[in-house]
Amino acid sequence: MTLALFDVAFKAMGSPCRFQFYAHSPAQARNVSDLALACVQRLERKYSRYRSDSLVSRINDQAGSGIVPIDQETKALLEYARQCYQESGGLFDITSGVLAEAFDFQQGRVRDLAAIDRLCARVGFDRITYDAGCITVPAGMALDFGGIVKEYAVDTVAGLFQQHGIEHGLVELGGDIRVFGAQPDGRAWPIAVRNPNRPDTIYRRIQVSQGAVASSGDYERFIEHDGVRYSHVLNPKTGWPVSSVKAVTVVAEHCLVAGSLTTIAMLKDAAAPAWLKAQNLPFLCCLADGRMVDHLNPAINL
Amino acid sequence: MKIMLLLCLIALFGCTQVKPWQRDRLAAPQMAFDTDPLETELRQHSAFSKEASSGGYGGGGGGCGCN
Amino acid sequence: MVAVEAVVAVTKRVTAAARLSAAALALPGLMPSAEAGRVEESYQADFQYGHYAESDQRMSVDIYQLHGAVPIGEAMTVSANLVRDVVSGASPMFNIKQRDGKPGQVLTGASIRDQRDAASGSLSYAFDPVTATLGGGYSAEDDYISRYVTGQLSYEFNHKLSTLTLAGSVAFDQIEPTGLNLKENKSNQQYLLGWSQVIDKNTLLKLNATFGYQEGFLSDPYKSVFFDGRGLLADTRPTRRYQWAWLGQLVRYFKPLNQAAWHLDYRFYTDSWDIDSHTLEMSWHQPLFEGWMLVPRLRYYSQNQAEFYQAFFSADDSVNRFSSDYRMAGFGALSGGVKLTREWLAPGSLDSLKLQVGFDYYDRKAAYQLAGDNAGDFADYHAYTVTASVQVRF
Repeated sequence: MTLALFDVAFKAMGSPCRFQFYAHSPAQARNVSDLALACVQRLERKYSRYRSDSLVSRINDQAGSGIVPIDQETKALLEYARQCYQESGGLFDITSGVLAEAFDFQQGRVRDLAAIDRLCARVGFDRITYDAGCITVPAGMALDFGGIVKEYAVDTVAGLFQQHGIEHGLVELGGDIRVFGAQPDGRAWPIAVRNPNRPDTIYRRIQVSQGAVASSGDYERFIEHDGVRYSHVLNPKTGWPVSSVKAVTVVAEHCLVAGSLTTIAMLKDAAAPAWLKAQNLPFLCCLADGRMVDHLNPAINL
Repeated sequence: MKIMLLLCLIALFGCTQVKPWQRDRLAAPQMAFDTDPLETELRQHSAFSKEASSGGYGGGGGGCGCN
Repeated sequence: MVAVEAVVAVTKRVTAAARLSAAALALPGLMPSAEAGRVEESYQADFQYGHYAESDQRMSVDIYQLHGAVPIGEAMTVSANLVRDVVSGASPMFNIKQRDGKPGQVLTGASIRDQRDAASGSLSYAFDPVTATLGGGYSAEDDYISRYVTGQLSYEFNHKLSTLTLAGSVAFDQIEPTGLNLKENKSNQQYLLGWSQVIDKNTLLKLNATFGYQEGFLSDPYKSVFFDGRGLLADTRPTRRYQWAWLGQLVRYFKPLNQAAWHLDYRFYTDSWDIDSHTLEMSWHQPLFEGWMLVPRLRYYSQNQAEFYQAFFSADDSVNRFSSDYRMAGFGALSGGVKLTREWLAPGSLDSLKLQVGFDYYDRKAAYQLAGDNAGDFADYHAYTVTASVQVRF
């Protein structure tokens, strides 16, 4: 059977996105990419903090005043978030979004230095209670699945392609990538890793035929305070953004895991390179002074 | 003895890491243990009526005057 | 199991990344898409016609098979099978002692015609990680009626890399041979313990053990036994039979060879009638181009004779169990065949359409037997089977 390459570019979750895959016919390609697109949109509608009709907005609106019913998928995402919270010693916390109120990342400056301590008191994943059916969020707190859902969507959509018989392709949502099969001739897909020191240039290309590549960094959003550059990744314990790491890229089997590892590494701040090394996965860590800890070799062989 | 063997094998395979997303090829139709149940049924029925052995493959069905 | 966990714990580097990966697998979107035991999602209808013919104008059989499967909801599948066999021709009745002292086969004279109609159905329900299947069937001939029920439980574990299967079936048969004032019964139970395993991303392994127990009238009412100097007696076998079989199946994927798959099966069988057999079978599934697939197949079978088998007996043989049925003899069989398949994906409003033709040649020879306890080449024959089938999914 003849295979043709299809390339579908679109915008979702506030980022440029792309499906690249080989299909037998335009009809098959269209059918599968429509399903994939609908899947991304469904997850965005359900978990976006910026949409007032999302499940997350409903949960946050009810903070301190009631319980909100949740479905199996949301419960599973909360369970995964709990695992991240535990693995990071409380650094990866989906309730830490409120800390952003003290900073203005658009303008790159600190908005309210005095507010930081007050905001810290409104953070703490262990204060959220949920079970199979309902969730309760204390007053003043808010959930933000921003650090999980995009990566989760990448994996889900990749699985959807596979379930519909697409064997060669990749899914990219805002720079987070999952490859679910080499090109038909057996060649891996070249994946470009950005240079965090000069974000408009490519640091290097890696060859991936199965697996995910996720990155986290201060490419666009950061603040400068007293001459120190801070990323937008906020430490829930201090209330301050991290400053020792500029960007992290991790290669793993799942995009979700790769993404969580990059975020946790950023939060580990100065301990990031050592912690990443212990994970036994290919990674790239760019420190604040521009130094690169490059463990993308040996060849990506998941 | 059999249980011991089973446990050892599970322990052995427990270490091999076949990720879920690597299982696409195992789901190919030619990789099914039984790729064509109708043909298998005919073949097994034919063997059952000409040879003394039965069993092993499972799906034990009914008898037949052919044997 | 504690020991097993310890082994796994030592071998795996338990990193935060590994724990997160394990946690990620619990998410609905990341669940494995390809598992060993999965229930069909689309409607399916198959029809197959087969023609079997033995050499020397012996038996020929026309086989018509119809199969349908319907999904009900996301977890349930109902399937039904109809089979009609139309048998005609002659078959061996007994062996005589020829002048040279060697056995010679005597066939039924006139062409017999018999028809078998069978219906069976099953219901399978998947409640992850367990799949349960219940089924039953009915088969009727002029002189033979069989009813059976069967049940199966499959349990997937170890991140769905392993599947454990337990199955059992019970059959009750009634035999009323035409022209004989005889009404007999037999029952047959079979139990299976199976284990299938994803070994690596290219390899699957399955190990089955089955135990069978047959009780009742296990003789063949149409077969006789020649006692030299005494004449013919009816085929008389024990009324119980215990059967054990072990099967290993290996399936391997060859991506560079256009995604070909190699299947290798070996079965060892032994029973309380002292019959041991070895079956070795392999097939190569070669996708060609544009939905064509070629499947060549090779099979070798060898059994030794039942303890009560002789080609014929002498008058002074004092035995109370005896059979000269060629199927109780020691022999070997080589068979091979080829099947050509063309599949169309999404033709018109269908999900898929598949057409197949196959040819199989079966050569039975005493000389092919592994150990040499056979009674000579007088019962050798060969046979061929041609099949054609249509499979539709919608």
